[in-house]
Amino acid sequence: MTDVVPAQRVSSRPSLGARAFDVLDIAATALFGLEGAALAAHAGFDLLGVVVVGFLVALAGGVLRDVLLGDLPPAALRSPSRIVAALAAAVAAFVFIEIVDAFPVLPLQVMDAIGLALFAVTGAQKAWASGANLWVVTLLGTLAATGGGVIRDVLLARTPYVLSQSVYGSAAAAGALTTGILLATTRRPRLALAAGFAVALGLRLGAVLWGWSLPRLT
Amino acid sequence: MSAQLLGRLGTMTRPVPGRPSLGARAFAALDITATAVRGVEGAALAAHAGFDLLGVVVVGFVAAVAGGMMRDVLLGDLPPAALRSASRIIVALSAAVATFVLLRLVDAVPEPILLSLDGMGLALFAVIGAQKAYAHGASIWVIVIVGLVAATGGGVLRDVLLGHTPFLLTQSVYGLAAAAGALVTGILLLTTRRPHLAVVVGFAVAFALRESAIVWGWSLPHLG
Repeated sequence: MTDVVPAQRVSSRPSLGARAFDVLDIAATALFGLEGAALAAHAGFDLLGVVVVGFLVALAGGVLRDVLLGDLPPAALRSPSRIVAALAAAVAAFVFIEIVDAFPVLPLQVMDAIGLALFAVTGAQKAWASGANLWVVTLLGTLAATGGGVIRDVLLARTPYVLSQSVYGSAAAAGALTTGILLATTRRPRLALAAGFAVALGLRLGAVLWGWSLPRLT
Repeated sequence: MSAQLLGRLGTMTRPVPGRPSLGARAFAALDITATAVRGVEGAALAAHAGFDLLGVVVVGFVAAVAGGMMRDVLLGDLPPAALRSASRIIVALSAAVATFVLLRLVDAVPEPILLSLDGMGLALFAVIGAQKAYAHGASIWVIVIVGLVAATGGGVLRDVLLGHTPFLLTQSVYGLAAAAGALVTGILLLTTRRPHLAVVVGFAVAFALRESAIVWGWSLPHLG
């Protein structure tokens, strides 16, 4: 009796770009932390509140993704790098709030879009690697990219931006879906990640530049 | 594996029939219906709250499946059942999208019918959650808590996203009905080991309590 070993879908990351990829990921984590912390500071939160909100915006999406995939403890809690990046960004935002506020909006939105697209495709890729179907790949990619932002808005007691404004979550969903489809059909992980990233980034930047939004009823 | 654990498993595993029995199919149909009703309710609330298409879909989806996901996270059964096959995801998402498109139709459904369907889902999710917790070897306390979370967690998350005070914490006999159903199911599972009886009686208790609360306006004492 031969056991059929299921083909593993774990795709090794390109070793050439691995370091650049990690740097980009940590930079995006820090950026999300900075943005969340700045919003919390303006909402009148104290230092602890600012740090908590910044930390959650930076890490909660990925943590939720890993909890739902059953990959525990979550990747963010397995090494200090992301925790340090998120906390340092939040504290820096609190201390240098004037500098953060003086930063021009458009470059900040572009960087945020890069982080959004990155978390969406890496979330999708991770869900795919653990054997999830295309629906789950899209859901978890979107959740990884936007979960932190939704929690931020709940803590700040406002209607979640992701669920009511602009093309933000939908850009992440489109990127995750593209990555999932390409992973399923071509098995070329680099192409899938790059194409999904481009789709998410393109949609989000289009929304930033031309004010796209989804239909609503009221 | 210890002999005790094997014995415990032995009492729970039943012969699997070739075709799902009528009861099993009715159960699955009830489950899908309850999921869809939750999705419709959540989506309608989000549409009226001014959320865009994505927000409506997300809130509908969360209302429909998040309770079961919390149940599975608490039991350590990961990934959650809702994410292991496409069926629940498709049901929840299509219910939410259909609600967005046909909002007027949904608004025209008389409220008692919607509330009764919701009560059915509440009772069903409570006893399924209780039964699953029991199957994981949980104590009666955990059975009740997991049943309650499974039945009401999606609604709480929905209300948090909408910025409402959670329905669970303000509305009459809602969480209480779910907890009572889970408690009855848990007690019967622990004492009689007859899963069909336990699930049916627990469902009846939870549904009857919730329906009575709707019909006669029961509520728990409150001060404000």
